[in-house]
Amino acid sequence: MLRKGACYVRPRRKPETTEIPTQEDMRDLLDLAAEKRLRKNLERVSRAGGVIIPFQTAGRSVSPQELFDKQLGDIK
Amino acid sequence: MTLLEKIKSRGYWQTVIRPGRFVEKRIKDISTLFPIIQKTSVELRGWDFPHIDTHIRPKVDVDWVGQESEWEQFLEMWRFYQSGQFVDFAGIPEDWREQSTWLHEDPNWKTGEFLGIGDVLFRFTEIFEFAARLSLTEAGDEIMFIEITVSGLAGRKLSLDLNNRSPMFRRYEASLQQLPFTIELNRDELVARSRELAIKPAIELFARFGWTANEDALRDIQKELRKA
Repeated sequence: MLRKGACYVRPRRKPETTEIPTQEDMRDLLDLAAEKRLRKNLERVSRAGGVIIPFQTAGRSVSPQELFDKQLGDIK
Repeated sequence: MTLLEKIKSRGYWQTVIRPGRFVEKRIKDISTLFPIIQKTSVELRGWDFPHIDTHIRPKVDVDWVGQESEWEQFLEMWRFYQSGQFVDFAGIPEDWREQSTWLHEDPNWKTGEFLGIGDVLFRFTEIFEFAARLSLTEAGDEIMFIEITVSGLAGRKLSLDLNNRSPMFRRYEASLQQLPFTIELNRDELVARSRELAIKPAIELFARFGWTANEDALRDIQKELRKA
């Protein structure tokens, strides 16, 4: 019997569908949802022509000189 | 061989002019790029810089327009980007004398042998004058950056390519291969002193040949150019 307004999951312990049994299961569910949303957003950025900067260089600011030089490519 | 490869195969000038800040689409409408260069190109001695070839349409790419031209001893390629960045490669005309049908034939001529004092001073003057004009367009910024590199210098000697001047009695020869010159300028200074600004890099270049040029003498030579 499904209860209106309840959130059902498949817990790890046995193959069944139940309401969220514990607070840990709820946290897992929220983390999983956040990850899925992030993945979708990254795909959306990529489809729109955006570039994801790797974590290691994200904090480093790129100088105008580097950007202009990159624009010239190998002709310089 | 592309024209750029051909230019780089002998002595050449490489000029980069850009605004201080990078804004990828500083000039939003790509169709305005070529008219900006047409409007700002400088003609002080019968040949323009950058050279606008009216016989061919400019190449239009993703974010730049450009032209390649080769006529007589003049070889040049330039590109102008929507970011406001301008880059130009031009062969040293003296090095391509064999392509000229109107220069007097010289049986002793060899490519890469000479660099004309007048040609150096006039080219620097054209570059700074062009940069000044460019700084006043959509491509300009409060700070402008100019980088000029002259390549293919090793073993080259200075020559006097000016009329009514006393000949050079000593041999001034370069041993370095290329000399880069970079400067960042406030737009107001660039516009107000474009001719004067050409003197210093010319003196720096001549010094690499062992010649100490006199500033006033160079200013006097500049008077042979048309007023911008």
